[in-house]
Amino acid sequence: MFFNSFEFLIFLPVVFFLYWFIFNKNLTSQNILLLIASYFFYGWWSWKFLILLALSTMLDFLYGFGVASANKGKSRFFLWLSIINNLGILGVFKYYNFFATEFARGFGALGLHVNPVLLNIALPVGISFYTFHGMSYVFDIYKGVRKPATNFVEYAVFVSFFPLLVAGPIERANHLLPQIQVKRVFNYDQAADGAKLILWGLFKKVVISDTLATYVDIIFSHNGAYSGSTNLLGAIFFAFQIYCDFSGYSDIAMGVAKQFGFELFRNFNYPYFSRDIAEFWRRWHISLSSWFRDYLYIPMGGSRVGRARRVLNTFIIFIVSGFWHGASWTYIVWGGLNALYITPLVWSSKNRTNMDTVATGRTFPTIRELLMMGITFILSVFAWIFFRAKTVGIAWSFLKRIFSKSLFAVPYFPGIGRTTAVYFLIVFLLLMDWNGRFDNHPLEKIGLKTKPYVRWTFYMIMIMMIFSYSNLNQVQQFIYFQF
Amino acid sequence: MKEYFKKISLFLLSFLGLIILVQLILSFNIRNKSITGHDNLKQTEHIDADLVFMGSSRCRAHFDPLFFDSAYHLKSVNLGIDGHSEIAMQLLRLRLYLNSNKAPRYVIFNFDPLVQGGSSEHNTNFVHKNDFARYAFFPDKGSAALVDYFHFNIVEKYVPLFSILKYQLFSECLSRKGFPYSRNFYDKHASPAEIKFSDNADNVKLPKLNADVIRELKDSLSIFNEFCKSNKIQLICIQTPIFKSLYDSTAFSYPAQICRELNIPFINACVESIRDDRDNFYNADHMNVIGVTKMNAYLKTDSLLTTILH
Repeated sequence: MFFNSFEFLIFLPVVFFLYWFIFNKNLTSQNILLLIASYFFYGWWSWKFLILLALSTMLDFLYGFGVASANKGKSRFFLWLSIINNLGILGVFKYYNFFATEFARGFGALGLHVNPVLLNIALPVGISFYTFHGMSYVFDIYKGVRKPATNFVEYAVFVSFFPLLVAGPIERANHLLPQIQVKRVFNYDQAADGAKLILWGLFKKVVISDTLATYVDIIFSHNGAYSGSTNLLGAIFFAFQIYCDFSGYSDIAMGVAKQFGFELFRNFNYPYFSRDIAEFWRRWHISLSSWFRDYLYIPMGGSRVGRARRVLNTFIIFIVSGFWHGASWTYIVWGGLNALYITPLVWSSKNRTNMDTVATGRTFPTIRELLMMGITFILSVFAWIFFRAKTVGIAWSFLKRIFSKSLFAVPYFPGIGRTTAVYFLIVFLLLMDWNGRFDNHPLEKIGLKTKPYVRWTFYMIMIMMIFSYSNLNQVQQFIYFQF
Repeated sequence: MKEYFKKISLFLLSFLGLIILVQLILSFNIRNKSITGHDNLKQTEHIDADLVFMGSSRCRAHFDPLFFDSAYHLKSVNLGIDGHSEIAMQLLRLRLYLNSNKAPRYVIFNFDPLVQGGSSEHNTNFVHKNDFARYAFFPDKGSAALVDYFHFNIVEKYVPLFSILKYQLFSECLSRKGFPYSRNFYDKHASPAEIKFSDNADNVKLPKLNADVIRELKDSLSIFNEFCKSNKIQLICIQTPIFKSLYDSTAFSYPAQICRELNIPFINACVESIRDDRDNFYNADHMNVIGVTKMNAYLKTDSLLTTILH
């Protein structure tokens, strides 16, 4: 079930009603309803993969007890069992075919012909997210940060809570489990803020991202037919598409969670207003970046090691993070490129320079800040080309096309249509984001000082736009669902 | 909680009011107008004609009302509809036409082997369904049959703006000042004479005509004919040209045979001199203006048609 589908429009109010009116007597009934709703939500795609989800949940729940053992050896044994189990699931479903093909290719280069045995299985939706939930739980117990959950239903809700099950934010047991373990009481402000988040997320996804997707898909599949300037514009469009798609999803997830009394991790913090690439990565997909920071970067020594080791660790993190997105060289190159961008900052220990929000205390940025944001954005755009292209070769040809003489031609989109609406939407997004950059989301405080009917009219126009831009015949999938 | 529900309900009610208002504005804006050019029943509403052409896109492309106006002094309108060659659809459209117009004296039906019987209750052809989404919301008595023919569901019928948004007609409904009625749609829009077709680009195939299909065709045409008779309309069938690559002499003999059995006047304009010349066609089953002009010249010499129409 997609957040932007008609089914979800029915599903959410039904679960909301049941949750607050029928199953609100005690904590157990609230959690049982959430578990059933989450499994129903996930099973809408494929009920077969529910078995995998249930199995993975059950195993990590059991490993948690083993890891909590006072015996260090036993604890370590269960930790590794959990890692092998989770990475094994990911390995089989997500990476096996990639490694089999690459090994065969490697042998082929050595003159040995090997026919790889490939698995013909679909990638379960959200597998990278829920396995990471499970691993973080076990890691936290191992580190002594938390105790194992004693109630299976509570733990199962933590892993499968439907707003975050398929594309995050990747939650931590320490943050979400305590919320699951206490009875939720309805909070007006929280629910109202959640409704605004859902609206803003849907607007970004349906109106902006899906509109941009039309252009991006054509330009990336026929990049040779378009001028360098059009290719560059296509890459810029993709930068906004993926931002609106993924941050839109995260906003909806957070907004939906708020309807049930939960606060999820914030996943995006206006990343395109970053003044350097390190700041960008503190603001983009925050739950994944912090996951890798806490469970990989810090155990490898973090910033306590020497410069060279720090750079190496950074490369490892970014390449693993790239590979997490998908079994393809394009994601690895994307990760590597980002590591390359950040290396000078890590080397010179300037990666924590821009910790505040840009133009704090001012309405407009300075020229210097504007330049820094522009450079950071363009760097991210070039990395996104690898993320979006089907192969590294295509990404190269895309880049070559950009840096050709036709870079200075007027961008032209034959056969796609006029782009006026697209520019307008991007400008609207940037203005909204800029205005709300100190808030959790742009709609949080906008218009609070105006009369309610003014605010409501604004929301209604947004809803109308969402409906008029949505293709109810064929719902557009969120990009991060494939990961 | 109470406060939240109160506000949400108030918001949703206001929103409902807004979308009803927008739906009404749109409905007002598009009344008596075709917004896509395909729903030409709207354009011909209240244009009483002596002669009405019915059929699929082949009818729409091949019959030039201006020619019939001048050659036979009959006010003519072309109700051909792209993508729908079923007789059931033609019957439905004729009914709708008669709801708001005087009965014509003649109906010319483009009848050839590409035509099927079809069924109003069990329609499976949804080509251009989106063009008819404008009728879906609270359909009036006249449009209800069309809405049912295209199987618009209950949500599409009773939730304001839903069908218009679902079938992506919103901006058209909002901005379109009305698609101009072209008496010969293809003459003005899709089939200029200079376009020559390449048969590589065409994959039209004749439907297989077995005994069941022919029986179904005959039954459907018979119902159509009876309906015409009951409204004092003379039904005439004309088989218009097709490019030779599609031509099959056996298949193209059936329409004449069926019409003979039903005692319906039939004129075969699918003659060798027109169908063998690529320059007459826009694609394998649609003539361009050159072909239409040649067919008109041929029809002018046809004694049966001249006798009936004069």
